[in-house]
Amino acid sequence: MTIETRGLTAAPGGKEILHGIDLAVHDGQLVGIIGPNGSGKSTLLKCIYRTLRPTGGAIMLDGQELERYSVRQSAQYLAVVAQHNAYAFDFTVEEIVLMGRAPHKRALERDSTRDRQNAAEALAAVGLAGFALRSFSTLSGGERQRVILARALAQQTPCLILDEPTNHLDIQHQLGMMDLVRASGKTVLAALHDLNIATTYCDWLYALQDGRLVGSGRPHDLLTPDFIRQVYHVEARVAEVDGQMVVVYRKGGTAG
Amino acid sequence: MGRLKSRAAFLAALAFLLIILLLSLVAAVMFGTTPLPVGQVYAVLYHELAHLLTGVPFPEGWGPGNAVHDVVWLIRLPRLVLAVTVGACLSLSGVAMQAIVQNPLADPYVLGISSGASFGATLAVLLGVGAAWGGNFVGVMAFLGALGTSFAVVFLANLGGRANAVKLLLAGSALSAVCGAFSNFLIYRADADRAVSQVARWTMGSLAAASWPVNAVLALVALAGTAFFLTQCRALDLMLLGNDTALTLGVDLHRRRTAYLAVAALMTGFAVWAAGIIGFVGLVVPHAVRMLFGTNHRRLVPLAVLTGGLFLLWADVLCRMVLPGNELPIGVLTSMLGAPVFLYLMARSKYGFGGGAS
Repeated sequence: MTIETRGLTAAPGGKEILHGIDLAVHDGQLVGIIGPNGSGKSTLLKCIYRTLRPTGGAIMLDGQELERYSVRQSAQYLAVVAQHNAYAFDFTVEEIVLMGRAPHKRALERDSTRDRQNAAEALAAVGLAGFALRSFSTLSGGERQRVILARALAQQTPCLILDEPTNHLDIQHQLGMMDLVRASGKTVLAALHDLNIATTYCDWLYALQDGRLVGSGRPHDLLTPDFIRQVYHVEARVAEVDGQMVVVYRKGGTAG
Repeated sequence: MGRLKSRAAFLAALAFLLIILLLSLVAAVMFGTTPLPVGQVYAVLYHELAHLLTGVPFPEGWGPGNAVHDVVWLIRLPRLVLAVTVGACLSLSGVAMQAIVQNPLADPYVLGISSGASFGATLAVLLGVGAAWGGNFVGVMAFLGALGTSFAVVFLANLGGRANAVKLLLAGSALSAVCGAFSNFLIYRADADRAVSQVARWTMGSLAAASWPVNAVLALVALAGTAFFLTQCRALDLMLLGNDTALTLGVDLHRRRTAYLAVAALMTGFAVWAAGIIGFVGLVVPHAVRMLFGTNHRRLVPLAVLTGGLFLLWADVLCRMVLPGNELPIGVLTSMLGAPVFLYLMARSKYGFGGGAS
């Protein structure tokens, strides 16, 4: 399963935010999108998960234009973990996770024992095994984020889209979530803030700046001090500790 | 937590409510402005049912025309049945509207939809608008009024960005004021006394005009609405998570939202046509059911329908008991009960329904 965009442009609210993005995520790859706030990471992902209609270019899912898939079909291929998950109504954790089964259900079909089993397995995978009957609104931000990941896992899709998935998580759960995503073997496209998370987990990175693709490559090829300064306007050093690449930022190192 | 989440608890509650509803119908028929002996009341019911089910002719003095028979069978019982069907319709409309606007404060009354229906009915009664639709044109106009306002509210609330609670409530109360003002203007200008009192019935709500033909219509609407929304439970659940999330879970809500709004307006329109404006039922009942049984619509829809019916039935009995020798308009009572609940919900910083957090 692959995801590709060709010359993708988008103009949410009438102003063009994305200017011709070409990217490709190959089967089983974990690909990161990096870039400063407002660079268009979320906008790009929204086009791919269809809550925003692109103004130009094409998105290919498994070599076919996304437009040709029904919403239900694309939800069988792509699961999404997005940022905002506060709901005005209260569901139990299990109910939220079971909603991940929706794209596989016919109109009047009920949740089967298998669906419940899927949900339970997904909850166990994110470390929330005992939480099924807890009410979603009582959970912490991090727990909610993991419930949403469990929902995405219960959706059993070959692809996963993550929009800053580790935002509300402490370091243990950041690593836990990325380990889980990595181990799932799914084709993953993730917008990431943390360059160290990106270098640790991603096979390939795309860097966005002002809605343009300004670089792409393997993490240790792409993330040079010069490149980080150019994209993020900060001074940083790149080192290697125990064979693993780390980005170290310099105090007061914002380069205007 | 204290929430009854298991399937067994849900089925038990469903059976319990059904039994209580039937018992209530039988028990509440005893209450009325003129006291009647218990034995005679049930004799009437027995003979009517025997006549209806097996075609046995009425015994001498028990058939239509007999005073006790007419009070019980043509006034009291139809009124109770109407209370149940109207309560069910309003409660279910509330559930649907709360999902449509993703806000637990939505209800046909708060969103101005009842006022729209009432305005439509006023136009029909006083000016004869829509007479071309035939004998039921008042109902048709009430429905069109409800439909028009519900779409207008959602449209207005979506102007300049996505609808939120504040915009919906403002749009609802503004439209409610507009419809109310035009209705009052028409009533003020009208010279026919009978028409004026007929319109007053709509603005304060009354179940007094109940009859079996009206009940049949309302029962049909309530059953059809319930059946429809029972098929939509999954989409209703997803609706509460918002458009974007629903889309990533394979359901495009755009068209469904319009369809649900139309069905909810249909139920509200017919409820208003039969009983006038009875506010806050659609707010209070779903809220209570959610507190006990959670938000899952597969449970919420049937339980809210039954609870709504039960609630309005006893509210109507209460209306006949509160003022000796007279009756309180039912819309006045439900507003007295419902408005504080509404204020309480509004005052809470977040709408974490379903226990737990609060």
